[in-house]
Amino acid sequence: MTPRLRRLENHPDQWLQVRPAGLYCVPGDFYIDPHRKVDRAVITHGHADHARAGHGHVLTSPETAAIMRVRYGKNCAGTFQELSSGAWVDHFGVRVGLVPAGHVLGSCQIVLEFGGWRVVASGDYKRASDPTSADFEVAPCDVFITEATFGLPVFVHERAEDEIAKLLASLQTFPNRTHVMAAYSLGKAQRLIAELRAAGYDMPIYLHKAHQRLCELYEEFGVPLGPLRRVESATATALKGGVVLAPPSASREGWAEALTEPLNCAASGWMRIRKRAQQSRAELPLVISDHADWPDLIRTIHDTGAEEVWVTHGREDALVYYCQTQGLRGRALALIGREEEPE
Amino acid sequence: MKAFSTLIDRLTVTPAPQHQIALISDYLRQTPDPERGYALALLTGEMSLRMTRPAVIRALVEERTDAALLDMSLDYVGDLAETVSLLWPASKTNRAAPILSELVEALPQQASRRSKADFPATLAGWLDACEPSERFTLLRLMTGGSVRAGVPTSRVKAAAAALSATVGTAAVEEVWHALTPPYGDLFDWIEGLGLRPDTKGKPVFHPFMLGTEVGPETALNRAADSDWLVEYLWSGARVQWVQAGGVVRVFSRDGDDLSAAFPELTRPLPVDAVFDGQLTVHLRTEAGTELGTGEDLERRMRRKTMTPAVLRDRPARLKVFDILAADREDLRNLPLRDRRERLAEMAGIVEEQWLSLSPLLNPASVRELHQGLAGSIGAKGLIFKRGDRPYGGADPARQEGMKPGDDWLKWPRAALRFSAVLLYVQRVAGGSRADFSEFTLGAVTEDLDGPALVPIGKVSPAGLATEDLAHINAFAKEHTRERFGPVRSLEAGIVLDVCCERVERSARRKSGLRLITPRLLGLHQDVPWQQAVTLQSLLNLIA
Repeated sequence: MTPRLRRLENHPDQWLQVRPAGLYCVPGDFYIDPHRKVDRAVITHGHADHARAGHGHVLTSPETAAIMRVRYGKNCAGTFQELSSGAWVDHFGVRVGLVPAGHVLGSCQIVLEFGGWRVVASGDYKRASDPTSADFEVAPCDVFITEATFGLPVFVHERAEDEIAKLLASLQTFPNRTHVMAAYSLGKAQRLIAELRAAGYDMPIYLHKAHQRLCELYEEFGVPLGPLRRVESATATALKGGVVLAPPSASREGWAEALTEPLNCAASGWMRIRKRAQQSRAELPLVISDHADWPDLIRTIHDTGAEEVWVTHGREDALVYYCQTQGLRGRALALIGREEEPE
Repeated sequence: MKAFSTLIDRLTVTPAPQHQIALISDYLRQTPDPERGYALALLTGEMSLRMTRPAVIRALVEERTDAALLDMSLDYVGDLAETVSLLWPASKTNRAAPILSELVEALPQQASRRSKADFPATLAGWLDACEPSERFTLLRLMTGGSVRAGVPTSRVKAAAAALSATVGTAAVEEVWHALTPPYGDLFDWIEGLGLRPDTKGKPVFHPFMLGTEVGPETALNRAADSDWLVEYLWSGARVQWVQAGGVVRVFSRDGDDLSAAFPELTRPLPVDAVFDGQLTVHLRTEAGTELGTGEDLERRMRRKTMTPAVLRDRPARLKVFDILAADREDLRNLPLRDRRERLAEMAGIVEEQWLSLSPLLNPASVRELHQGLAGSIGAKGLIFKRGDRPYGGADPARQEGMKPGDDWLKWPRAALRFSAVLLYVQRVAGGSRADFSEFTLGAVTEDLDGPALVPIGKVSPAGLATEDLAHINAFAKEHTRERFGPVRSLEAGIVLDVCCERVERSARRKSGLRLITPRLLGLHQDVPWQQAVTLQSLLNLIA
């Protein structure tokens, strides 16, 4: 049997479609990360633009299911089907498996096998090590569906420990200023805490109420975060020279206004670009991201051995162009409803 | 290099002066000589490491990257040095990133033709050994770009002084211009390992004597007291003219060397001297010479190269009012009356067109003089100086327990007062609810569709009462038209009571004018915005 001949039939173009609700698998009758309510959804990870409430049936990792229940309530989906990474299910002739994506706790790539083809929908992913998330695993495939949040060669992230060292150095230079780190509540906050702990920072870290429940959940899943306190009940004196994690929107709250000379920090891949860092008005912009940087995007494409790469969201042009220079078929999937970087 | 580039990165995003000083002094404390000395020279602009042109850098990166990806990246980032710093392929090299001293050593070799041809390879080797942030700083340095991140030199000197418990900023400023990079003698002195660097016979900066602003009551009181002398308070830029050993320097208020921008003022006089005075720029027209605006002055200060046309059409003048040294004799401890005598003597032997003496005025007629200020050319007020006092610069040792400014009292010209419409508000980053950092004001113009608004200038919200700010904040919440980051444009509705020293014409601005030192006096409740000042009436105020 010559694979080429076989492959002209059942090409994924024919059974994976972009529909208004998102990426749809025709024979399996399910969507991947739909941004509207659907009957059947397979979810890569718990960020709000990938995991929405109200689906009939959700297949996802146990961690993502738990995250969705915490964020949206127990009845946020009709039924949850939890699948551990490495396990497979058969559904209307489509084999579905989950493989760790390294993005946040519970994040997975979705492996689909149908008609002799193997497709991997990576969701969001990163290759850099992260104490709060299982490491990315390469899943060999024919078609690799990749994100491209940082799909330009200028996006080269720093090593998280080097960036955390900058934060620790800043705490030495400004021992009286509270370092307020803007961080979204799922993933970024816990990673920053864990990286601080790994660097030997053992003081209490102050959390905004928006972060508390998910931090507890991470600890329930065996990610130790060390001593945590609520920022709302801490005095300005206690916060002096300390580290606070809060959502970006919290800067007008009472505790924030009581701080004298707070030092605003931000951690994101966008901080790589000076103009963006200046616009963020953070005095300490750290280049730490939950997404793959350019070198890791192209490394991953090669690692999967895919002959075809579909680019879902971010800066598709450069990545599609790159695939073409490598003799791979590159194609931009126009998925709507994705935010710039849901960190 | 890493510590230096990290410092530059942080200075770029650190707004508060005291925090910038803390970052720089931390760096100076942790960095050995001569590395920190070269850093000091680069931060103050005393030294340039320019060795190549952007085209050379572009050619280097084009050899190493895909042309289409480079274009897409340049498009997104906008800056060549930054794009290259990020795109440059990481390479496994055992070499360490170059330190500043290494770059300084390489500088003189660039003069020879052979090394010029070899330079791209040298630069590529350095870039290979660097990380992105280091590459950016390196590339900026190599093309002669500034790495100063908008930090004034006085702040860098303050950071150096912060290494010492005893040496103050003013003392550092005073020796600064006698020193050269890498400033080993300066650090030795600051850190208590050496003597104060010798400044004898060198043209160095002397800390300025400062004045305080007073109202008419105090001013008239002083005028009646025979201990006090009266002069005009001149518009223009306060400078110090220093000649030592036949070499002339012109220093700004911050102690920056302006000599290159004003070559016509640097012809040596027959004897060395140090003058305190006011610098102005004039416009030569067919009708004669008239006083230039503050904008004309700033434009000349910023010039990097001088042309004969500029010297002919925009000549600079210096009005001197004090003398700090004459013929190598420090006069600062003499009473002002004696200094004025020495100044008059000196002015008598100097015949330079660019130099004139600020005259002493008759104290009996200060009231009339002050009322006549509007008609005088270049005077923005009167100043009263105590005749029996020495010249006390900002150096505490000289101040003899006096508050700065007690000996010189400024009575500025009555301010112009008008009402203007609030167009934009800018919030303090991370600040509290009613914390505005800047307001943009507008004046009324007549448009085809009726009255419209045109921006006339920015003003600090300081001076408004808390309840006025709360009112503006409540209004801003309901009536924001657009947001641009921390800036909001508002619907017309808030009318403010504004005063300013004067109005100058400005070709650069849409309104055609510039408000000089505007301040807010309060909020006009119940005044419709259409009744605020019109642009035409402000333009009519231009002297």
